[in-house]
Amino acid sequence: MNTAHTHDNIIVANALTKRFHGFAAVSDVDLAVRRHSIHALIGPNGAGKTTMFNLITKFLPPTEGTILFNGKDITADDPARVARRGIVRSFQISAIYPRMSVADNVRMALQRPVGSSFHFWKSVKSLNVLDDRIDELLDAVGLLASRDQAAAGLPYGRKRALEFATTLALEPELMLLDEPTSGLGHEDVDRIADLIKQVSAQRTILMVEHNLSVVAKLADTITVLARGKVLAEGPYSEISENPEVVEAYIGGSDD
Amino acid sequence: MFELLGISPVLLFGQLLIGLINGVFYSMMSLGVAIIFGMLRIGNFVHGAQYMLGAFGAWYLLHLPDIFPGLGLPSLGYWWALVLVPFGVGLIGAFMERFFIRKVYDLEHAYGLLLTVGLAMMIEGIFNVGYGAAGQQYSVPDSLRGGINLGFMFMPLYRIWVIVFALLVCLATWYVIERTKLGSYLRAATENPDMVRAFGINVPRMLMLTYAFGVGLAGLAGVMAAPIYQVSPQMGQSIIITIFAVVVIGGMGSIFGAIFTGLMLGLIEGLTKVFYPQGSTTVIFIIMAIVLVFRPAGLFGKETSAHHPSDIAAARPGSFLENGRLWLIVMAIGGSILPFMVYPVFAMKMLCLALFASAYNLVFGYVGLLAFGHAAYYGSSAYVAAHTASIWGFPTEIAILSGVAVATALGALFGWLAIRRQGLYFAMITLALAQIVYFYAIQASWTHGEDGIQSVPRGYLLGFIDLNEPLNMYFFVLAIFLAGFAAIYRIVRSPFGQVLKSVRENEPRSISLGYSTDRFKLIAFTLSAALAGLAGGTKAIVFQIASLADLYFMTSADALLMTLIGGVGTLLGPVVGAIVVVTMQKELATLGSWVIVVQGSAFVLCVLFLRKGIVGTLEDFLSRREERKRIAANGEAKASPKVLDPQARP
Amino acid sequence: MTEAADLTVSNLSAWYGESQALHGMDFSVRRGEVVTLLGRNGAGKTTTLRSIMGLIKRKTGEIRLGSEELQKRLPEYIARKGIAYCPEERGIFASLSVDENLTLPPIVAPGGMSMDDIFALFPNLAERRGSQGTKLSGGEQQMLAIARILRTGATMLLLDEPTEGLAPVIVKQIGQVVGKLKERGLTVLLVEQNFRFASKLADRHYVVEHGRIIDTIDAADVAASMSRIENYLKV
Repeated sequence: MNTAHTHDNIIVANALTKRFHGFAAVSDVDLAVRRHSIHALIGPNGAGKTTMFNLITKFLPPTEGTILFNGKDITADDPARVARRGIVRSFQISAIYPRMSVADNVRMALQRPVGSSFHFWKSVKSLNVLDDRIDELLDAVGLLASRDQAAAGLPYGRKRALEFATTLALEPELMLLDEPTSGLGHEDVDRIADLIKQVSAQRTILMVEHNLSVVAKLADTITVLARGKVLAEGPYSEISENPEVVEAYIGGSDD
Repeated sequence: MFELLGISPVLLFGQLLIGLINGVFYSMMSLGVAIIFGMLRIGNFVHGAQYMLGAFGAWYLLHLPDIFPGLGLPSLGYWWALVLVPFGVGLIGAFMERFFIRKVYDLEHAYGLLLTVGLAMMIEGIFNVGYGAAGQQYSVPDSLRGGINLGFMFMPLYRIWVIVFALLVCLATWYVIERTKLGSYLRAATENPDMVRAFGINVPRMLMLTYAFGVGLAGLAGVMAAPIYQVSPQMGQSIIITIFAVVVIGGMGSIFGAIFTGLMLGLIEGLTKVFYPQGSTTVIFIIMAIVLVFRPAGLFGKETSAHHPSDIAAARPGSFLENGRLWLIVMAIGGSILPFMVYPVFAMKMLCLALFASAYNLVFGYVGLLAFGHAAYYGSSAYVAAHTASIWGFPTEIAILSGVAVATALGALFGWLAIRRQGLYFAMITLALAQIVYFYAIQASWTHGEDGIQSVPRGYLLGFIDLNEPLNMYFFVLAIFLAGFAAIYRIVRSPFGQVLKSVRENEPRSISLGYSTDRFKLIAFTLSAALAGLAGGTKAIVFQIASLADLYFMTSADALLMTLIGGVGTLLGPVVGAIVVVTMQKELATLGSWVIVVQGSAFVLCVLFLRKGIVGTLEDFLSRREERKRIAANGEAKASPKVLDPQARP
Repeated sequence: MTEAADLTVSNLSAWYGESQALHGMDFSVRRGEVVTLLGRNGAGKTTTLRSIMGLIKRKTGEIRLGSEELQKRLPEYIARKGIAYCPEERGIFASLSVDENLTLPPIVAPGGMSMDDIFALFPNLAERRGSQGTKLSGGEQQMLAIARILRTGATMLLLDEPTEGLAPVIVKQIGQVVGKLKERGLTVLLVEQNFRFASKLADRHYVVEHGRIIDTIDAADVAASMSRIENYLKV
């Protein structure tokens, strides 16, 4: 990777490798994500995209390699610490708190920066100061009307929206979205895509996404992974014409 | 004759032999537990009872003519038992799997453990009714009498046989699992049961046979143990907790690991008896704690687990049954009337246990951690309060607070060790750690062994309120209970409590939001231990005694039972559960030893039919009624079962 | 061999938890055919195979083998009807040797391949019989995963992305194997993203999107429909 531009890159992964029982899910991957860009990771199933996410957020420890966030080495951090640094992720399956109300879901994110999370002697009402911000966030994803409903009762697409609002609530410097549109209907896909675009203004977004029309619409840079390695990197126009990428997706001719 | 560090070789080798004997039993038993856990994901707490069944099976076969006089049945000796009993016990195991254990495969791990705890209580309780604490003698078979004089020690023939045969059985099991076709099915199904089913193999039947096999091993161990240890209803109870510790130390990685760890720990135990006899009962548990610090997955374990706390809470957010302010008032009023309706002592017992169960519920219900050793905090506080009040002359309230302080410290230490593992391991570890405290109390001088600390003075509250006056004592206990209840309510409804709830519902998500969830779990565990200590210390003052029963694992099981009957993760559940259990114990007192059988059945019935407990079931009823009303009002049926029944979440 | 029968899937819907993965799949596979399900990631192809195999509990609609309804049957029953499944992640058992992996699936009907046949087809596996399952390369694992269901006498094979992540030379080899299976009269339902691979083997292609069949292309029409197909699959 071009280290001269490190300061422009919010996250730099150097020679990341993750092996499971000898099988390399990710092998020697370099990845640099430019600040204030939308960067997409794409690739066939099993290419190592979700593993990359888990490595960057430290949900998995890398076998080899280092990860720098704003120039600081975060390779040894635990996942909660990484999140506190400003790298917040979503999950492939909607990660919500099913029995909490929609508002309380978002409150869980807003509550941490308040700093009273260990205060077991205080009333939960002390967190009511967050209500305005909660409503603002819920309004942004169109969930304000459901604010007091249990999250479990939301339709699937609305759950994804709630998860998005919760992730956004932490004002992450770097937002990692793992297949934000998977399992959604067309209407919801468009809504989430618009939201991603909207919130990308002041922050960096790294996303794994299968819906290529969403990727085409949003991503500034695309990294194509295949078999745990970087196959190609560049803007959509370049990637979509790259013969190796076409082969990875459609299959090569054997001559 | 040589001497080693002033230890005579007779003693040394004698203890090593005993250690080796214990070791082979540990190996056989932990092998069964590990196989069952690997395949069925069930922590087979009833394994000890099944071992006991094996020993009694042998004894029965020997006494067939006495048991069924007039039928002309022969007395079947050791060798017959060695063949018949494992099959018989295995058959009982198959029956248990088919009618009980199978029902909980798809549920949280917690239920499997609770179910087998209940089954163990039932089986051991029934034998206790029949035989009491007294052991039955079972003599060494004629062909294995005598021994070999090795010059420095005498080796009884039977013990040589046990060691050789048990090792052969372990090796044969290893061979079957690692080297045969049948074993390959087992290994494959442990890894990926779906795939094995997709090949056309009847995995459910295989699970039943695996369970039967593991249980058969326990039965065989029981037969072999009969001539060495006394055949008694309690023989399985003490060994199962040790076996759980062995399994935690070895990890679940390999069959060979289970065999090796069992043997090694038996030998270490034997050596400890030589060099530091006081430590011999606890050495295995202490090794467990050390292993947990340095190698949480166990010596041979591979996985460190991706299992997150289980959400089995039955509460309904916003329900009036969860309104602590309301119920605090209701209970203050009810509690003030209570001593005029029932004996104050009875009412105080209820209050102490209700507080204890509520404290336990904080960890089990609100954090989703299956702790199984809360007797350690309850009992240690009871001992400390009793000791400081009677020997050091502390004022009553200071004595109780001293107890709470010790329980809190213990909770912080044990919690720190235990949160390294999740799910079933958490249960096994907390259980084993609690056992350290229990054995300590048996041996330490200040705890007075079997007698416990008796005649603890109730003293004067604030120096002038005479607590020997039953009503004074009662209202003091009521105040403590209400304060404890209010504290729990506040903890649950605090910013901290919100995080706990979030961890229970979706731990990875909470981590991704930046919460170091282990720290929250540890604080909750410590708070729970402190409140359990408050209950225990108070109890010691009320009943003027601290005894081994307070530290015994049955006390931990009681806390679980009360929480389960009342409703896990509900505010009122533990209180309701305590009322039910204490009343049941009182009403059934005339049944004598049957009480334990009834309690075991209560466990089993709750797990099978009343998983949400009384309060949870009531909540279900209320929410269904509310839903019906809503539908009637709206005129459109848009019922959402997912909201009604959080357990139905996939 | 058991009497091979046609597989008919009608109006099949399936759910993972609350997320609906299939929205009314309709297609059929006649005996002796090789048929592919094409489509992008997440379209519902794997879910379809898993549903046929009985591995997905929450589903509605019909899955018929001949005249027998299998939708509510358990996987062990479906396997005994001669359907065998080779999953995307290959499902090689790590704690079993190659030999053990190979002989694990029980014979469900006469007429399966002998071990000699299998080793003739997959010479690499013969050399690695004693190795642990997961010590194999990706290509070898894939071959093992296919090889072990050929022994059983199953007549219908469900293959999920057998070429995924494999080098071109191995992909070619696997293509030859599938061709031979077809010659032997086996029915194959193939899930693929690699269209060039699939196009040489299949009698028919179903294009899956959002849990539905959105297009059917017969082998004869492939050349004429190439631009349409690329449109479905391309980046």
